[in-house]
Amino acid sequence: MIEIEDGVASISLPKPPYTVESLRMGALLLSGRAEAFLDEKRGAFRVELKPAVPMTELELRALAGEFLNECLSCLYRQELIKSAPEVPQALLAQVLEKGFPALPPDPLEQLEPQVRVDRETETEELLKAARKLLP
Amino acid sequence: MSRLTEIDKPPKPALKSVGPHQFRRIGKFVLACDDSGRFAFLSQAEYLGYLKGLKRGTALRDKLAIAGLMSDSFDFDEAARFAAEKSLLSWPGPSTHLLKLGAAGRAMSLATAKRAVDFAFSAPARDVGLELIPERLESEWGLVWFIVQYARRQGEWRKKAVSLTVRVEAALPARMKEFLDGHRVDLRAVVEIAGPPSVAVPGARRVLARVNAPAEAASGWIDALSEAGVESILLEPSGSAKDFLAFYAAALDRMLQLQGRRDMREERGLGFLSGRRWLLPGHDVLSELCYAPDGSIYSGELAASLDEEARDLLKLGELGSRRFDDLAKGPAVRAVLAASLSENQPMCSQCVYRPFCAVAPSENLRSQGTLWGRHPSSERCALHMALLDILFSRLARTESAEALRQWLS
Repeated sequence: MIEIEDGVASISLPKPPYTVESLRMGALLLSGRAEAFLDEKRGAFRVELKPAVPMTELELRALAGEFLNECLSCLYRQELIKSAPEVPQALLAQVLEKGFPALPPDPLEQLEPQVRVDRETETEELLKAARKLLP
Repeated sequence: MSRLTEIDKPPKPALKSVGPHQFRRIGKFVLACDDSGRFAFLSQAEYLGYLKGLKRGTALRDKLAIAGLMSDSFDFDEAARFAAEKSLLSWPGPSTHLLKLGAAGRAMSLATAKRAVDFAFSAPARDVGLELIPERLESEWGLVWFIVQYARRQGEWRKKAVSLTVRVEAALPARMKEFLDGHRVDLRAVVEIAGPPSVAVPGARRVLARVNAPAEAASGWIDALSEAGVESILLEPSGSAKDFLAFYAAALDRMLQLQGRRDMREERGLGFLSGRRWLLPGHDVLSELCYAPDGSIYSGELAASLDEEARDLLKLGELGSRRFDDLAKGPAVRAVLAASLSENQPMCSQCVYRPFCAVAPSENLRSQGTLWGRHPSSERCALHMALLDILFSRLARTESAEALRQWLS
């Protein structure tokens, strides 16, 4: 499956099960360490991994193995997502949809502008005193 | 080889009575656990009997019905209540805000410190926890002095419970200690557990311990720290995983022996047992946010310490320009929360510990180069599973189970 030639690892992968998405996840993992080139022929992908710095055959084989592990992991994860219980995903969707609502402004500061001014003055004095403690 | 366990020749389950669950063999017990974390311990014979179908009126059947493991006597209201308490529906937002006061010789400015406190107080959580991480306390003392007093005032103004902690590596000068004590600030000592027991930071109630010591040293260390007033400890490996796990088991046993006399809890174990992922120490966004000296907001402390490329992936914005309610719109927060859903993770989806455990996405990124991680080969996943084996083996014993349950009270 993995061929090493001229410091480049070439991998042939059948489709299915491999998908472009899974190859993209594998390539992302090698970001900064290798360039990934993708070719597509009838029923198969061909991936070439060119390391950023020269590698021994053993290192290159390990890199290609890491790439393949990530591809498989991505494929399996996609399968799981399809069959996983729906409730946790629905809850996450709801949390993200709602966003993280921040605390509303202090009503006391809004009703009594002087409260806000007093607090700002107090904070300014604290900052002034703290500046004296810094080198 | 999978770390999941098997049962020899399991019978075909009687689906009319056997509820959905995962199982794990721990020593002579089988742990059976439902999706939301309700569990029971059974002997292997009892478990096989459960799978075959139990007659009505037996004690084992009643026990399993209470644990939510019998599908023909399932209490849906109780299950829904239990699941809601542990799900994201009950998540109050990140409750610990870590302020790195200095990094690589560069200190946070006072203006940034103020913005960080304001940001933390704009979060909806009722309790706000601020942990200050100085790089050089002496030169950053002005920042600590300001943050402590400003956060206390903000707590009064916004009627929030505030817990303040300063992380320290050595004993403090008297004037600093006096100031921090006067403002009810806890100390969290960073301790290297390697040699003979010692207490480097008197007065620290919390300890972050990096462990590189054999199991035989555990009792001495726990005794010394608890005598010095330490109430909470987070044990992290710094040497071999095997030695760490042996140390952890011995330290846990000693803590449980001391329970009631000098209470001390282990923070990761407590997080696991709570079944709430946002109580797991160091879990990105769910449990913490971290503010760097330059005002960058990161998904957690580990995220802030990664290399530049990885750090950028987990950067959530800048203090001053990013509002708390904008956080969830960012792709980093969405990716982190999605990657924290262990239901979608290979191996986690079959793991009995899924309701209790999650590996932080920043840890996956650090160790495996991907936010999702590859758990079958993840060292952190292996470590968590082994720690949970230790905790659950203690829960299976009557004498230590009660002490562990008190951790949650």
